[in-house]
Amino acid sequence: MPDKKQQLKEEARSLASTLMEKQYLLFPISFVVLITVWEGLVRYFEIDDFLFPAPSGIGMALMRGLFFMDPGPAAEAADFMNLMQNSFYNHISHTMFEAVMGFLMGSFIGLGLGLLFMQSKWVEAIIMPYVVAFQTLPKLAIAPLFIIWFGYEVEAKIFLAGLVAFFPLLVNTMVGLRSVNQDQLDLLRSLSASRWKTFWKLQFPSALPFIFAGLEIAAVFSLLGAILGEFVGAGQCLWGGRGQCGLGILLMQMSFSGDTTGTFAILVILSLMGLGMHKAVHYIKLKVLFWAPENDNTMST
Amino acid sequence: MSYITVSGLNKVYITSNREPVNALDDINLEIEEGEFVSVVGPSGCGKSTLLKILSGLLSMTSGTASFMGKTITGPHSDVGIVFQDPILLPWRTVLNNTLLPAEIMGLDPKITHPRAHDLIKLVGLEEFENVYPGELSGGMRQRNAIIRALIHDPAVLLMDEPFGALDAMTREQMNMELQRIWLDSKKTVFFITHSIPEAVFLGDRVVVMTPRPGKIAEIIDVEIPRPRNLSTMGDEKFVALTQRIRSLLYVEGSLD
Repeated sequence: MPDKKQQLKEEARSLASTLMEKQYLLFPISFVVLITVWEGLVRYFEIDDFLFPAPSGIGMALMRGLFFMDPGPAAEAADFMNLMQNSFYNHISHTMFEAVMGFLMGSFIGLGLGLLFMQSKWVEAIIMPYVVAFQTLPKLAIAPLFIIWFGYEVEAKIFLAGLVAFFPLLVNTMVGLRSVNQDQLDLLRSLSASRWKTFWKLQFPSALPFIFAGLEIAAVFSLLGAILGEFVGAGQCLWGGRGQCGLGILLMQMSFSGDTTGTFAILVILSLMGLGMHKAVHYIKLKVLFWAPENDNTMST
Repeated sequence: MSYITVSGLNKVYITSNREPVNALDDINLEIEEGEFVSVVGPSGCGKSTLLKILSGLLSMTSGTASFMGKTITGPHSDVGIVFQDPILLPWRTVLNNTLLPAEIMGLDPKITHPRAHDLIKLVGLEEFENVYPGELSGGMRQRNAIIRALIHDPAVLLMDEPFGALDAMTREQMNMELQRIWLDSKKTVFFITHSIPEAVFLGDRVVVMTPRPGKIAEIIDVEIPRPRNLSTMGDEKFVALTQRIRSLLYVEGSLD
């Protein structure tokens, strides 16, 4: 008997050490375990789909939406016919367009203002308090105003996405420009470098790691902003679809109609989109900032 | 007239608790063209302050300092500076770091590029021309910093403890290399160090400074023929000079 016990122990130990060596396996394994346990619990306790759907149901809903095999239960309610006639792709591309445009616009303005503020203490002192005060407002409270100002269509959503993407860029650009190494500044000063050359050859490149950290945050925020805008007011499909489009609208309609499984499916899509946008920015960052230490702590700013 | 002239120079700092501190007190120094002057002294003797004033990075409280008759009023292009840290820009290669001052001064690339290649060869970094600082050793980085200071062909090289952060073996190597570069280029060098042997090994003269207030205790001529090599450090004359400087520092102040 002790031999067998010993043998089991050995096997467990070798399995553990294999896993430690192959860390990339840890996530897929934990994922499979999580899904299996989830599925098992939902089935064992016979939990209603309406309360908490099983992964298999969510998978089916995803398939249905992505490959448009069958409109699903929500389509039975006539009000939602239009929405459900569009495939997930119409909604995904619509929301993605809003988020990416908002991201580009917000980052561009945030970066620009950050650079501008650092050129003059006066401008910073006058404008910064308004910016901070504005930032502390809950975006959910501003969203209806944007609908009033810019209408129900895609513009309002882009501006809202831009608004939430703007702030991380502004702050990170300013922090980045401020954190220039004093010795490097002295070196350029000893060469009588002009302000312009100091900016382009030293300050801007030094700020890039911070700016990219801001971009990574803004990429995720802009998606949230687009969804928030869609919650408040639905807009017409931009291309391809009929009636109204947007994952935010779809999410609302599904939860109103009690299609919890569909809601979960949309959440899966949203998190994948957020992950995708973050990864895209991260990839560009690795290419541009090949010289910067990889595990920087600028993410937290 | 001397190449670099410093006379009656004072520098008073006001500290955060509003106490005036006499960083430099009545400094008088004349440096001839092509001379290698070492400055040695403990922390707080004002040697770095003196270098910063010569480079134009700091202003003086009273007195004068001039280069070739021109009074120093701010940063000027007659000097190349080597700091204790190499201060290379991490997004630039060895070649581009070397060329940085040339770009800032707007010098003609047709002249500076070949010169940069020559300088890189001079310090044996030719295989690393397109390598980024993150992949270089400490000694290589400091070599890069030295040739960066030489790219615009300045008359004077100001060096502020350039080898202080290197290990002892690399440091001796760098001393040999600096002597070679100096013999080759015949620049005027103002070299600050903590190390008495290093000061004597490299200098034509050694300026011994003492702290509180920072002043010159004595200027010592090093009459040891060039080129000097590492075995020079065992010579009777060399040992006697280092002993003398050591005693000056211990009598006048304390080495901390």
